Amino acid sequence: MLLEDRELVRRCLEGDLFSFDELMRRYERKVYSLAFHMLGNPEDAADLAQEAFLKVYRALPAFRGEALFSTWLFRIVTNSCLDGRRRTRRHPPVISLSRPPGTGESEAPAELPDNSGDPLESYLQTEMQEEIQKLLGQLPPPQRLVLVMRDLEGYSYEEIAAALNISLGTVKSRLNRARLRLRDLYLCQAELFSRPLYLKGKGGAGHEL
Amino acid sequence: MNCKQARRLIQENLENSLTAPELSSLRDHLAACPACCREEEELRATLNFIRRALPPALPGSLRQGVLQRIKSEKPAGRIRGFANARRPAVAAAAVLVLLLAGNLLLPVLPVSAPLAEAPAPREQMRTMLQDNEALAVPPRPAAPEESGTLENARLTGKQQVDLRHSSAAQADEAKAANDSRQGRPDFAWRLLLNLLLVPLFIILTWRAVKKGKVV
Repeated sequence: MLLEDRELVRRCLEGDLFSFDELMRRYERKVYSLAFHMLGNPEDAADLAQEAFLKVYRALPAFRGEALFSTWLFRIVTNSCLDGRRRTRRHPPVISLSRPPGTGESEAPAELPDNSGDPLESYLQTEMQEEIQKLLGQLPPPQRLVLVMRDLEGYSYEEIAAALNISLGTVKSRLNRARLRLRDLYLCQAELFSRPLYLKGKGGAGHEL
Repeated sequence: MNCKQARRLIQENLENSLTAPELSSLRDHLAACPACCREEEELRATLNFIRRALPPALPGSLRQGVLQRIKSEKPAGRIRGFANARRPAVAAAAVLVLLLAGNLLLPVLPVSAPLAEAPAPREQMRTMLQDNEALAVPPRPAAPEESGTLENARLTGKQQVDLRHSSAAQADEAKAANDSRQGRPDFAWRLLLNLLLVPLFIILTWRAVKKGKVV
């Protein structure tokens, strides 16, 4: 039987860490994904997600249960995303694939994307993901947050309004402005580097690689 | 439909949330307006590009890391967490009590301080209740240090408390001040108290409210 979040929160407050682990398991993907698309690299995203969960745990005694746990959680997460004091790495370090997992820190190996398919395809895929992150990174954080939540992560307007503590109208207008700005950036980038942003189909620009 | 309305519908259409009549009127406008048509295409291309973003691979150690940090700070963790959430509110309440106590008691204390050496005019400034008590013990002109120890034994409980509250410093100051300037030190003390405590109270209340909002 699946326990409700509320019940898990109650057990956490009685000192049951397994319940907190279960709560994290339910939301870690959404939290991490949001953090990743906001910050643009896995290290900062993991830092932010962990700090946000820690904040949640410390603030649990003050959680009054008036809102849903998820609403409350994402309020904390989005606050962390917009926290200007966060330092972020400008150039994301390359993840070492040669270092055997578990030698450095006591970390489980990261889940790697399934690259078993066409190597060219996977190269282009990685390339495109980086381009997307670069583009998103040029948006001002409040606009980026709304756009990521809506257009990448698929949150509803109501969820975004609740998490950011702003009105539905503000969510919509901020989202519209973010899209227009992103459009400008996208066109500008496509002009500057007049190379194909993604290659699909056969022939054509293949020799450029 | 003008272009402004069309731009709004274009945005909404990016999420395919238009009703059939809205959609058909937008199509009519786009067919007639190249600028809006281009905007529609550009926005759609941008969003199509962005939506190719894949969900990132989740690091396996995320939860473990959090649990380890929780365990390492566990001993004081929960109590401190609770205290942290409440601290500004408690502090604000304490400052408020101090503020009230200071403002209500300060006007009373300096007057009752030089009880032993009290001359006639001062008795008029006392409240009725204190007047009665003061009359029960006949005031004698004597140094407060000597008479205080001698008379303590004979004084009633309430007057003992009054004497204890009025510290030696306050008694000295009250003695140093002329009878004509009697109100001044009292006023200065209250001003100082309020200048210190009122901003403190405002800051603490503000922080308590801010903390409450996050929750």
